[in-house]
Amino acid sequence: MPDPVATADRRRDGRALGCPVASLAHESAERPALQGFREFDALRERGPLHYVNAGRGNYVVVGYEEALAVAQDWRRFPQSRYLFGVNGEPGDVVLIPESLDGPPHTAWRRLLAPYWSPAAVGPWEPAIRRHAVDIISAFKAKGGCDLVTEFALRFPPTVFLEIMGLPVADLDRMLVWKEHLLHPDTTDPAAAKANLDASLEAIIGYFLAAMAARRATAPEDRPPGLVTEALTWELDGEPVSDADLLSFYMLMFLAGLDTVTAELGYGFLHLATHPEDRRRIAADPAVVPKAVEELLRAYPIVNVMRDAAEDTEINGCPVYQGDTLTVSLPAAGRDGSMYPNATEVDFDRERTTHLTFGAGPHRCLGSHLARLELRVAYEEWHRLIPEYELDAAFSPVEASGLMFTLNTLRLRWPA
Amino acid sequence: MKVVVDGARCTGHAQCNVAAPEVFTLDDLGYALPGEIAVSHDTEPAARRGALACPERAITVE
Ligand code: HEM
Ligand code: SF4
Repeated sequence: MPDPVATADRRRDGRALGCPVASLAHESAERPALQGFREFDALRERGPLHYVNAGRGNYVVVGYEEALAVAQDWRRFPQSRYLFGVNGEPGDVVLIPESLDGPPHTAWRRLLAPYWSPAAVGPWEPAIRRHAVDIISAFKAKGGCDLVTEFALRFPPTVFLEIMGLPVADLDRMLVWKEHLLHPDTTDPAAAKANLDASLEAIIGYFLAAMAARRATAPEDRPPGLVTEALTWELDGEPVSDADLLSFYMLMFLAGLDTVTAELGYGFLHLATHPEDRRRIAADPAVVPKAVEELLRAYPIVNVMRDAAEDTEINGCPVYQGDTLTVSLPAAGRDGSMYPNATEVDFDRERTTHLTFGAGPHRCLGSHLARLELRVAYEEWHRLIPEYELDAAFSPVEASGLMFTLNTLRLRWPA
Repeated sequence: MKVVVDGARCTGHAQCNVAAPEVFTLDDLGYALPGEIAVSHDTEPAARRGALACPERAITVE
């Protein structure tokens, strides 16, 4: 256990060495859209790594090279114990595979990979397309919608339910639980805590019931989908326990629902405010795969966390064992030393290789599904609604905090 | 020319295969087949494109 006083002294030394200090204040519940990106852009202009002035040994990594190096080095920078912690306390839920490192993590990734590889997700395309068309068709005739609440929030979770083999009719319940978990009402902490506890219990009950219903059914009569498949999973010759399956479902819930929603928000914000890019997609759907990659590059939405396992340094700044690093993928994706005109969207960019899905062992398991959902969403939207713009009566707003996502984006079009 | 896929660094982004399917083949799990790949004159540009597309920098051109 490092001596806290000695560590604090050394840390002051570290700052005396010239490592920049940043303050990341996220007090309000909302902020104007894109402000989070601008704050991290400004930070990165001042250097690739910053000591964050917020209590314990905290750093934020904003340079592309540094972010890649930290994400790839799980021995020096394992998963953070503060992952999913509340109010600055270490998290007490294990989420599989995100919380794991080393051989147990590798074993889980091997088990899961066959369900999420490009070849495995490809056959979902017709179902994904049908859901996209259904959702868009429901509001098309209105001549306007809130892109976030009416499309981006509904489309990815519908696909999630389909792949899990759960009834799509459960969507609205699921969305309420997800809101309570991921976007607690910051204006009323007591109510937020009560909602969070209730929703956590509800999700656990929901998945336990789904597993029990399948076990009570003869194998050949069980509904297709991942929840049924998972009942046969084994690790090291042992069946996977129900507790571990729940940990996996909880992570799927957190990682798989909100992320594509967030990407769609920023993607459509860009297209609604850049008519030349919008018209290009509408006129030529073959541009969509390039557009998907470039929008992912320019708008990464996840800041990941790691802890230092040993005393070390990054770019000459000392980092001590137990310090926590926020690896800002939104900053890394817009690093001018990696991409020319990095903060601009350019579908013709020669190289869009990005860290939006992370790097190293925790590389997003769902990246191939996410890409497919995004491609289908842009294709079908622009086929059905090629002309649209921001509704000038409303300003786009994003949630405050480290997961970048829009709360509202009002669009309108000729009905 | 040849390219080498470092299996220890590859984490299955599959972007080499998207950029250059004629050079990089994925296994059943969606990871690039590791090891040396001989590159013909015709596929050199594709091989370079695929190597650059790898977010993990798992592919070297020799
Ligand atoms: C565009 C949408 C998405 C983005 C930007 C995104 C981003 C990320 C990132 C950055 C990580 C790495 C976290 C870390 O390093 O600690 C990650 C991990 C993960 N993502 Fe995604 N994700 C997206 C969509 C999805 C979807 C649709 C799924 C559902 C299958 C999913 C499932 C996961 C899982 C299971 C992990 C944990 C992997 C591990 O720990 O080994 N993601 N995601
Ligand atoms: S792009 Fe890189 S990490 Fe991805 S499959 Fe190819 S070699 Fe592996």
